[in-house]
Amino acid sequence: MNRLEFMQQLEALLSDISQGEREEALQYYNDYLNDAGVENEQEVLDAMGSPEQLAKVIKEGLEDNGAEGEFTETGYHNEAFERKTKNEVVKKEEKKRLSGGMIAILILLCILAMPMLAALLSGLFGAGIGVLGGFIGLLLGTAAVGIGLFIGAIVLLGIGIGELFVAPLIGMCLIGAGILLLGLSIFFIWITVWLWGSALPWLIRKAVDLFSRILHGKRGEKA
Amino acid sequence: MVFNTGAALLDAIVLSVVAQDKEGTYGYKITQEVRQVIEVSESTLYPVLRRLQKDQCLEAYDMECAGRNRRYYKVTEKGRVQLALYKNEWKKYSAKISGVFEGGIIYE
Repeated sequence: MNRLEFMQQLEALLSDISQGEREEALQYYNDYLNDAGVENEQEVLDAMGSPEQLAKVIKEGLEDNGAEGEFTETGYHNEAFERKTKNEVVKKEEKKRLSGGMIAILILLCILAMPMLAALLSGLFGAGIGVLGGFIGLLLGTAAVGIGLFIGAIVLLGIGIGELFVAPLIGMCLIGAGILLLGLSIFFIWITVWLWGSALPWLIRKAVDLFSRILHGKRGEKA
Repeated sequence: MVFNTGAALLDAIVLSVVAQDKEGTYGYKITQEVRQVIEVSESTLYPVLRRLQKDQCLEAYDMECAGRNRRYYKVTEKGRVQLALYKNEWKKYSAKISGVFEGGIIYE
């Protein structure tokens, strides 16, 4: 809406007040727009709202005893001005004002909880690293035991077979021990294979699932 | 600005701004100067100026400026008395508030 249309509508809306008051108001706002300059004209018109709103402000002013309207941190508030046109704005502002206090309290709580939160997080982090380290240790340990026992068994079997021709009894004992160790090593190798082949992928799947659940909410449950 | 400005304080600010110009001043300039200290929209000072005029605290007159008539406002004698009262009240009020902020309540 340009200035001419705005002022014409305003004049029409003010037709029910006295001619003197109407001319007074129209002159004031005409002057105002002239003094604001052509380059600021549209901005000022926008700030004034609609002709209806401005007419309301002028008419309320005529009955004004000085007690209406209030100047707050968000500017001037006049019930007459907002009641008709901007109920939503008022509601939003009320919400904002409420949440202003809430935000302050939340920030305070966050600051107070910070050391506890940090301790908790670092504790969890440490525990996670510990479990991970333990698991890696288990994986490597069983593999090492399995391989060690297997090497030991082979060595014992080799020596046992060699001794068999020199001292058959000792050779038999060594071969027996070697076979025992071989069995044990096979058991450990089997555990290692199971850990690496089944338990590790299962754990990784679970971990990925957990993270995706944390990150995407319910999406992880379907997966 | 977290504190609200009541109607009386706004009257006082407007009177004070107008009183700064001995020759009188006009709506746009008054609005811009009031806006230096509190937030008011472009449209809201008209009712205040009109009321102060009716209360005979301000007088309006037209003066030609750049080929057109412009409405000027000037503080009347009554307006000056009213402004002095506002200033005095403000001094007392603000001193009390500052006193509480800085040193607690002083019992007389």
